[in-house]
Amino acid sequence: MLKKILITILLISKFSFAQEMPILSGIGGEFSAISSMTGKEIKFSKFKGKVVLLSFGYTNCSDICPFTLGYLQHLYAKLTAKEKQQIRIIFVTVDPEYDTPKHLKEFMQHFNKNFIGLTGSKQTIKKITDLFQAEYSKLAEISIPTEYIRRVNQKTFNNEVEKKADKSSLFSHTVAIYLIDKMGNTRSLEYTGTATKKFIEKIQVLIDE
Amino acid sequence: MNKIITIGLLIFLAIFYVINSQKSIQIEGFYIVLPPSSKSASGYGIIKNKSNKPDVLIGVSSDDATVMLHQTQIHSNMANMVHHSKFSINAGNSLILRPMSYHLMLTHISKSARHSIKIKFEFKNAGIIEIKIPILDSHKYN
Repeated sequence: MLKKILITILLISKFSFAQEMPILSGIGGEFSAISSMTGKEIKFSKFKGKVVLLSFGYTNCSDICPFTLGYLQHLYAKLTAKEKQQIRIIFVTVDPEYDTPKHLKEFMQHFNKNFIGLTGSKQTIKKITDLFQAEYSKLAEISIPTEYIRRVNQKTFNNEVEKKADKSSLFSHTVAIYLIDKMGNTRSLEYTGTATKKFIEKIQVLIDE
Repeated sequence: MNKIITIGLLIFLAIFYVINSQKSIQIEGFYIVLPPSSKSASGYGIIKNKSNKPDVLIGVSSDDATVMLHQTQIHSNMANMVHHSKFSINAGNSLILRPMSYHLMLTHISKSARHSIKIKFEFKNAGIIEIKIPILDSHKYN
């Protein structure tokens, strides 16, 4: 009897979560990009049948991106082996000029060997961000002062080669983590502030659908 | 003789002032996160003003990197970085640098800086305090 009650409570709670996660129409869709795993083009529909956690960022992002991927690494570690097989964690770069597939692979694998980085042409990235109603904008080449980045004493380089090699850019970008179901529909927007327990419960609901 | 005593007293007072002013600011628990293949890094930690008067952080610098005090601000689902050229810390208060908030942003990092980076914090009253900050490759979660 107690077992039946517990199962009923569990089903009601899962149903309640599913109700909280309607399809967010107009967010997401089909696209192609270069995977850090293979260096080859991959269609997003290839991930159908898996629950996807997708976020945007870039490897030279010093604060929020490593923190977001660290958060996802922490969340991923709490899943069971079976659940891990059912999800894919994807990071789409907004800096395709710097983030080559090889570069992204090194960055992603630092957090988890199963995490996937996606890159492509500037047009590809624009298309993906448009699909997900995400935004990004280049703030500046780090070496050029802007309205926000000013009065900085630059480090002195020993030579021009070192200076040239160090050129990189800053971006502002969307911080949401898109929770996407097995059919490719975006169901929820999460953040690094989401309690991992609650996030995992949502992932489990989508795995069980 | 009086001249020697006066000079000695002045030197003593100067040393006393320097020691005390340096103690007025306490810099704790700093670490730098530098993932592989990234050219920029963030520094986190706590700066405590233990004196009985306000002090102002007027500069951060390093021989091994360009350093800025940044603040991540999230507006309308977008992360933006705002540069602060100075930061006032009231008496008894702290400046907490943590992910998605205030942080040191390091760019143009020397390849020789693999395990730690020396950062100079310059305060209006307390002067320059230099600390060696360890480099970690990722955030630590419990």
